[in-house]
Amino acid sequence: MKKRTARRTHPVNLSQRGIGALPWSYFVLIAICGCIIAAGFLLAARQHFVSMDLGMKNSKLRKQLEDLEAENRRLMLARETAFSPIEMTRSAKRLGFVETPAVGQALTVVSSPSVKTPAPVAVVPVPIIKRKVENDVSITKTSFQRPAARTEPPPPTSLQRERVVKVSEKPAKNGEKSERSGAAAAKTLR
Amino acid sequence: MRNARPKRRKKENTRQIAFTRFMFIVAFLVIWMGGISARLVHLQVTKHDWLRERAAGQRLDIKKSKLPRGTIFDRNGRALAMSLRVKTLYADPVEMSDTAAAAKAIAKTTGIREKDLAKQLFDAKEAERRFVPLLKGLDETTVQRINRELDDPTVRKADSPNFTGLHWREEQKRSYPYERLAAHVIGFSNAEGVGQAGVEQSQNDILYGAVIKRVQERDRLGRIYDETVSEKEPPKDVVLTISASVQYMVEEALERAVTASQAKAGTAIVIDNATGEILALANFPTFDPNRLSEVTADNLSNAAVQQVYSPGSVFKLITYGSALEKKMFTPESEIDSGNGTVEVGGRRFSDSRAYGRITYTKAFAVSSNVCAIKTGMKVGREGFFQTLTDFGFGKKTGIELPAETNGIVRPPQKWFGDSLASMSIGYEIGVTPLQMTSAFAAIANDGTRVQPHIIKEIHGPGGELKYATQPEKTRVVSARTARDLKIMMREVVVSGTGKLARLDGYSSAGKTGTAWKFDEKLKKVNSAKYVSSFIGIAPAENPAVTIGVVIDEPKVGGRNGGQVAGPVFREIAERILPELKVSPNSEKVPEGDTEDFPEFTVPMDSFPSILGGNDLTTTSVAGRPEGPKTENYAPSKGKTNEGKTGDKPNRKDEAKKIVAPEPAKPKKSDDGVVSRPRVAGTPVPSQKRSDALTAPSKKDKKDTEKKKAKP
Repeated sequence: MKKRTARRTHPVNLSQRGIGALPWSYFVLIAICGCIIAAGFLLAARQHFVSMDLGMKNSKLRKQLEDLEAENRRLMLARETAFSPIEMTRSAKRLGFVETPAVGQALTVVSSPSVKTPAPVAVVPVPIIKRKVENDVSITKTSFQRPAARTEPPPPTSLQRERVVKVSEKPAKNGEKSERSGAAAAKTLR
Repeated sequence: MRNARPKRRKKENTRQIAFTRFMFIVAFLVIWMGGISARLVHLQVTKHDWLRERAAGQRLDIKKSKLPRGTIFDRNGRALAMSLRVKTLYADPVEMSDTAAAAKAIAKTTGIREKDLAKQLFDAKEAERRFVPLLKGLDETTVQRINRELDDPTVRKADSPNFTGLHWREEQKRSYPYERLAAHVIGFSNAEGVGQAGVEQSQNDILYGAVIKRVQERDRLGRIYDETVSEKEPPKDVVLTISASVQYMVEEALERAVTASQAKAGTAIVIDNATGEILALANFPTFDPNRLSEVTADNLSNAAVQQVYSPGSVFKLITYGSALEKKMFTPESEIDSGNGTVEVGGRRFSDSRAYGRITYTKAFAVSSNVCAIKTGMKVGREGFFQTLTDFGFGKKTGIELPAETNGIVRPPQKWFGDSLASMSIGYEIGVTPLQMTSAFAAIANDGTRVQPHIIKEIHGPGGELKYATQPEKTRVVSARTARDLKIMMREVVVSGTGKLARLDGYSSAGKTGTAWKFDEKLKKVNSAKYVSSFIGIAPAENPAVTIGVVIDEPKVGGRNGGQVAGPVFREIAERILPELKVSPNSEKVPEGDTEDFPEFTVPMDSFPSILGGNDLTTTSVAGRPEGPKTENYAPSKGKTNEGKTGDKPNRKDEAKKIVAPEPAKPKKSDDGVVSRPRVAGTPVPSQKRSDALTAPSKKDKKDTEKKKAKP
């Protein structure tokens, strides 16, 4: 009896052929897909963390903006407070400036034609501020008013003495003298 | 063949085992996955809401905050009221493990007494209260200092201070940097940021800071990585017509006058005639809106718009204006004041003395009641009432301030027999200082009344213009009438009752007014209580501003409007006109030429007041007071009105009184026009009327003539 070998006409299944028979192209394809997926995950993760980071930065900037706005308002308030005439008067008094009567204030002295008692003077008394005086020179510097008539002039400071000497060294014309002394005084105040 | 069978069996067994094992694993995986799926379904479907809330609670932080309230600026951009962000330090004792130790650390930094704080924290922890405020209203500098001092390196916290159980809470604080300046105009807002008075109240909808919601997403360390803010329209800023510098000058002058005269109160208003803008509106006594504990019923009321008073002689401007508009006379026409008394409706009105036949200008200058009453009677009820309505009396001016009163003007049907006479001289009528000043401003503006307003513009948060006030303009009298009235007003200052209102460097015009006040206890007008006023314009030729000054119950010194309020007008005008860049147009006031007319001339019981109570402190209408009978009002021979009122006349001052000029004889010109020699202080004849405003006074004229006579 002749032994016959039947030839298969259809290809063998991959499962029947075994793993070792798979071509490398499949592995490469799978690897690429895996890489793509992994890259996608990585990209998404990066996006997520970047977004978180940006959110945090945004939040910080927003807070910073609010803080700056608040600071701006605070400074504006401080400026307005400093500009306030009431505050200016207060500061001036603190510095030793003396309040002078306003324009027309003296004319508020009025008398009544029908009231028997003499009308009291309506001028607001000039407040005299007592302050701790360290030396006499500072008084003349910080007051708007001329110093009251004194029996004895204040002792000149060394700077003033020096200035007097300098002016006397160069006797100038009448017109120039006052300018020079004024400029020298300004220099002294500076 | 025998050997092959066990091999096959063995092979079959191995396969069977592998298959069984595989199936076990599959079953296990299926069960495991099924369990997980079931759990997931349970969590996702059944417990969905609970889980969602829990996740959101861990991640989301919802904060509600209020946008800062809008700022109020003056016309020059000075911020008069603004809101600041401040912080409150509070403790959450539930988070604290050791309240005593925490109290010790906090007390060291904040300066709070440790014992009290420890007790407070302990009690709060027991009661599970999670908000214990420790320090309120702190600015950023203080906050940063406290954060530094309370920093605990062992604690990991997202928010500051880095101390367990301590947190900051943001709040707002309304600040008024100019303190008492324009307090009645600006008003104030309460702790919730709602306006309670002034512009703060009237413009609350514009200024109010909306509440916004912030949804913040935080990571496990508490850092915010996403934030959603619900957008709301931010509040707008209000720009007032007030000028801070002018307001300060006005307030200063008013305070000085009220203090010097020991008056009960005072009001001063400065209006720009052309635009109707209020440059200053001051009341004294006033308050500091930063210190609301100072606010009392006495100093809170904005008398300029909320309180009515009998204007007295300043109202004669309306009387004469009404007659001039009807062309009943010209300023140079003459009127006979008779013997200085007139009887209307069984009531006698009188002047301090008989002026005889004088021009209308002179009558206005010396504030003759008889002449004003006669003029008012000529105009008639309906005509007079029409003029009152045209000038805006009896209705609100429409100023953007809360609780403005209409004033009191009764219709002619409700008038008494002598009402027209009384109203002609400013009684039986209630006006606000603003209404009265606005009427003068209309005359100054050539007869066109511009609605007074205090809000200039409204700006958006970025400074963009959202709204600009367009005031209503109404012609109340003709330009000719206005010019005639200005001539008459000028004479008041030049030679009449308002000499003390003459300005250095500027010409001025105005009218004085002194009105007795109604006394609720006496049920009649009280001779000891006056409202002295002066309303004037400057410069007289081309008025830039109208200044109204009303002093309520001056007790010391003068009492007439010219004596009390005139100098205040002068001080204000002399200080603000250079500030407003108005060029000087007049010489200096000659010294010593301030002799005053005794303006106050009416017996005290002559006028019933339609204003119940103190005129400047009420708006209710009272009935006719029970005053003495008519015959008592007439001054007896040799007695002055002062004698009637209980005040003894001052002999010295009596001598000062100006002798009434004798009626000049009329001269007939060629063209048949009857003219009279010019009485001292009256303006030049009509053909030179326009020059009359600039005409120098009699004394000035004499001086000029003397100078001319000299070689």
